[in-house]
Amino acid sequence: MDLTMELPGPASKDNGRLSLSSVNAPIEDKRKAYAEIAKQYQADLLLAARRLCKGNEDRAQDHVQDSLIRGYQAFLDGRFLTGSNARAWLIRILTNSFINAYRRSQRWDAAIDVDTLTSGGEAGPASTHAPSDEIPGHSLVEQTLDDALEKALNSLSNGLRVCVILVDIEGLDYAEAAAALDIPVGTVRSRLSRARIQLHETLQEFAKDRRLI
Amino acid sequence: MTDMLSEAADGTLTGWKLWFTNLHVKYCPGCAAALTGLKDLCVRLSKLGTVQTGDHVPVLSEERWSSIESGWEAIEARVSKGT
Repeated sequence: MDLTMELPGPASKDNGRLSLSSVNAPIEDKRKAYAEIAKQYQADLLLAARRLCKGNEDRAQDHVQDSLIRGYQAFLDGRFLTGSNARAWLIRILTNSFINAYRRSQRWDAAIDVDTLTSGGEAGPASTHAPSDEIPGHSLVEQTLDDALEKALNSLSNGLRVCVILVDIEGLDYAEAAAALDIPVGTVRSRLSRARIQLHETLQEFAKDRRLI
Repeated sequence: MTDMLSEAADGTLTGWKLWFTNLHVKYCPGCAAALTGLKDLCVRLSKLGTVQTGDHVPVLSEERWSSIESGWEAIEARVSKGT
């Protein structure tokens, strides 16, 4: 089975527009234009990658590097159109890189429904659990992003967490997130709902523990 | 109701569902509190996605950029060969 996801086509948001046509320009100009957006959005990509990788800096940088290289191929192939949202487009490529790597490492079992994974916390098979170095408490997140919300986010299962990162944090709309994750929009909607409820409950527990409420 | 509250919180709920949700939370203190909490959560999450003034802005190292540019050159070489 081919586990490689297709690179996304053009996104449709208003910000992050690119001014150069990726189809007719000489390759030197295409390279220059792509390098500009790559440098412009590297911080956004790194922040998103850190969250996807739960603070593992090396893996985050690997994914950003891979995404920017794969993105260039897509750019030359004309899969990015002038007027599209470059940031959202790159975030989608980054998400694909993360999911592909996850599937390759067999930690993402496509046959297991997300409901199974989330019904009782990390109740799925061992193959679907994050390795110990990615568990909150062992990661860079604990050292650098010591915040209740970040911790609550990391307590979510991957299926729910990625939806929250794409929609609530990175600002993709439901359709863009669905395309990036290769799932129906309705699934994004229901995962977001469950994720937000879980986050809300976790944050309330944090607040009670710290006697804030 | 939970899904509708979630969508009402991020502003994507429209039409009769929005009307029904607004009517419901008007008379249901539990759902009203949940909606307020979810709206607050959405705002807090959206702030995580933006680099705040004074924050350290992460960048890729020179070594990473060198690897990326090598990757771009390899792609260009393939393109010029027509493969």
